[in-house]
Amino acid sequence: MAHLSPVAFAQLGRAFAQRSAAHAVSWGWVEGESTGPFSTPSVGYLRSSPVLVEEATPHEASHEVPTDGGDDDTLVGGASGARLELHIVYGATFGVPLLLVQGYSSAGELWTVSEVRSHLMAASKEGGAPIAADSVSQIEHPALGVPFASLHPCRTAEWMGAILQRESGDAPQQLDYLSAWWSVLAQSVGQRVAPADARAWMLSA
Amino acid sequence: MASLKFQPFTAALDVGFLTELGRRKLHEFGLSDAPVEIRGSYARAERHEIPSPFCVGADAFLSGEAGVPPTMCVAPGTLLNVNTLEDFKELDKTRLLDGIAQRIWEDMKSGEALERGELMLRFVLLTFADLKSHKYIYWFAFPALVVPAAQRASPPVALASLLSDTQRLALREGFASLSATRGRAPAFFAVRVDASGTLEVGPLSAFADWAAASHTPAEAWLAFCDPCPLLSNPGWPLRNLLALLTAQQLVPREWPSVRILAYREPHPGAAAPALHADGLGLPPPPRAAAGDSRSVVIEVHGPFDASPRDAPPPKAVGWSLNSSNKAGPRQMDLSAQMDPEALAEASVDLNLRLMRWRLMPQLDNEAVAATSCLLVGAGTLGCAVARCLLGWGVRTITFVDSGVVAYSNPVRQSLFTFEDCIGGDTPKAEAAAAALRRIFPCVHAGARRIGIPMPGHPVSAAEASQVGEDARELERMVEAHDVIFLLTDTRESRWLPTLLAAAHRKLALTVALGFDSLVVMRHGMPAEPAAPPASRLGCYFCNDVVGPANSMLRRTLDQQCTVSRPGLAMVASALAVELMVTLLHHPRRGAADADLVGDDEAASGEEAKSPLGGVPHQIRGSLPLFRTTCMRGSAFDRCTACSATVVDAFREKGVEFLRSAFNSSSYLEDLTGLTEMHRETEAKLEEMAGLASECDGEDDF
Repeated sequence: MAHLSPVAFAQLGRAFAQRSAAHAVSWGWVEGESTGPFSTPSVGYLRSSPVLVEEATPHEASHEVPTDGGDDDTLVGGASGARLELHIVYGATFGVPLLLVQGYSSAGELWTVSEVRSHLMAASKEGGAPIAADSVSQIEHPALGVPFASLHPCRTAEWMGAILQRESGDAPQQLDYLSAWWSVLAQSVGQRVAPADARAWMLSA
Repeated sequence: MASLKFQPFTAALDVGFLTELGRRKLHEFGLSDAPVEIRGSYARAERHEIPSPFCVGADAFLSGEAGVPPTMCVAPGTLLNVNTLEDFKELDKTRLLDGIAQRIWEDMKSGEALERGELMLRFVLLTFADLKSHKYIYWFAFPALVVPAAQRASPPVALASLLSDTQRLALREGFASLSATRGRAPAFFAVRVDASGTLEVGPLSAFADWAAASHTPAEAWLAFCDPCPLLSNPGWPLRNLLALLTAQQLVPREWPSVRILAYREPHPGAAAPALHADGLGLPPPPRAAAGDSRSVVIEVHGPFDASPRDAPPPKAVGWSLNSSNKAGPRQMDLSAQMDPEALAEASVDLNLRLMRWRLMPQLDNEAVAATSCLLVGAGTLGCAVARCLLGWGVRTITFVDSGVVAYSNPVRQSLFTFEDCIGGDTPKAEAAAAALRRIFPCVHAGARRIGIPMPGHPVSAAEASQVGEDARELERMVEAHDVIFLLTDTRESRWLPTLLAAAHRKLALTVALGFDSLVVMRHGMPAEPAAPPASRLGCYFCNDVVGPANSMLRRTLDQQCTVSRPGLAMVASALAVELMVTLLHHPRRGAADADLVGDDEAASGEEAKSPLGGVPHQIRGSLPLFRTTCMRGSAFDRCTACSATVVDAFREKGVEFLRSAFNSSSYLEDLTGLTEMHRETEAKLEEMAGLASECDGEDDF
């Protein structure tokens, strides 16, 4: 079993964001903040650049000429797609990173959890690591307080333990937990991500 | 030459941004509709057919660039959140757009935009947040300066037709290292291809020198990160880049044309294989091939004559289209997505804050909400006080009571219902806390079933350990809360909480009822060691010259339960809570001296006032007269509950001291010197009686 402390999560999260510049999905680290004098500061989280996806039911783009706002040089109409916003937060209950997903239609409307679920099931199948329907549920983003779909983390510590042991032998503390975790989880959202340098998640001790 | 059409930005607003806007509206902006600086970001289009959206997320309110993924270009924006739908409709959109366009133009003219290209991407976000229904109306504008150069552009050609594979890999590497030095992707930059074909990438500010040193336009290019994926059209950022050519003499006058690269190269990615949970290696993701590119180059023809220094800005366009491709706002309805508890919490907050915005700017809702209250007694008074505290937004309420809900309770005790009485074993404290949570799920309602040990109620040897435990638990509760409400129905049950509040310097408020009279009193806080001891206010026991004793003995049925007019408890409870809230706003809080309503202004002092009004020591009310009177009573140095003698004895001997007080009816009177005082008084009375009879025998007593 391999768990992560909030402090380690924040440290790894900052480094993870910095290293993500070369990837199609890059990450920004948003620092935690104190919400009040009586609360402990939140942990901070990672947010992705938008992941563009084909829309299940494409929005019918009309080709009317705009009445105002644009001019003759403004292109009107054309394809638009849905997008996923990915966040990685610290899951305090399980002591592991938590992948949160929000989907938006091309019209900018928020997907329901079941829309996110069916998208992820299809995308993860394509990605080669299909997920089960019951592994997607709705939770509240710990820092933002808004609903996100989450991939259930109950077995994360278990398989992370296996990976860390396999990849690093007897020095698991030298492995970048977060990068290794993401290289597995990315497949669930249809991404094929490989760490920039295969051993980048071996922290240079 | 056909004119070039630009694909507008597709704005993407996150739910997180809207809830953060709602939160800031409540906590910071209030009714202000002053512009707020925000930021947005976009990534270049890459491989997809879908335009890359311009994103405004929850982090948009953060300053600088921290938190934005490094592949995204950051753009500064202005948020204008108006207070009413009418304001939203009536706002002069043209003027708003022109104002931002003016700033863009000035940054171009001053040369600032060459150093910080993102200034040319300034945007406007106009919002109306209907916080009561969680509906948000928003409208983006991406101001673009309309310049004739757009009419002189050739149709885009594929980058692959101009650069070799090697040069394109050099371009990607150059872009990556420029991004790395800046910490993120630049929105605008420059490219140099020297005569030998060597390619170099540099900041936008490098272009002028590179162009001056070049022999032909093929050697120095302008470039921008393009969110548009179309091979036939460029994206919106090009418009202001063209305007920059009008504002600044960037391109040498003699050049017939200039090349502009719409950069859409894929991310280099990495070559290593991904891991798999069950140990199966997957084939590596395909590394971006050199030919895999959607970048295009647009050739814009001269003349390139910069406008005069004081030239007015060109006309600007840029209000976004809605989903039916008409210029207009979009709407996001979050009421369904918000979970009901969050909704309840936000609505309660809003109502309280409205009080502050509309009526009383000094109101400190946060201080009230953060005050934790211990309610000793969960009967008629406890229920009424709790409901009033909820109304003020107090979030932490704990009940202490040893009783169970009886059939007679629900009609008077507003947190209980008939169901709570069935079986006769539902503890009152628990039932009251559960009711609070049903009323408002965000409240932290606690319950302790503790019997309150009382002086004059002797403790048998068998009960001793339980009573000691109860006393210690009550003490822990007092320590853990900020304000203690004494809401029990006998005098002696208020003694221990009074003592504990004094010992831990907590604000205590007593509410006591007769049949048709009430008293609400705040106990004086024992002075801090440094403060002058003079004028401390009294506690519930300070006016007494007898110690608390068992008042339950020899009571008839009508005396055994509290019989008071039903409205009295509500009046008294409300007064107690309002007194607490007023005190919390007083600079000296619980230590404030009594300022009686109608007191001389000068006497109470200018600086020490609560914006909510007076902070009397005690309020005595009478229903037959429909009148309340404020009174002040000083602390009594022989008080059996709050005097230094008692507090010190308690601190020193703890439970042992309490046991003596519970078991012996005269212990407290002996300790504080009341017994002695009684003797002296008797003696005085006898003496005076003697004197009186010596005079004329009149009896004044």
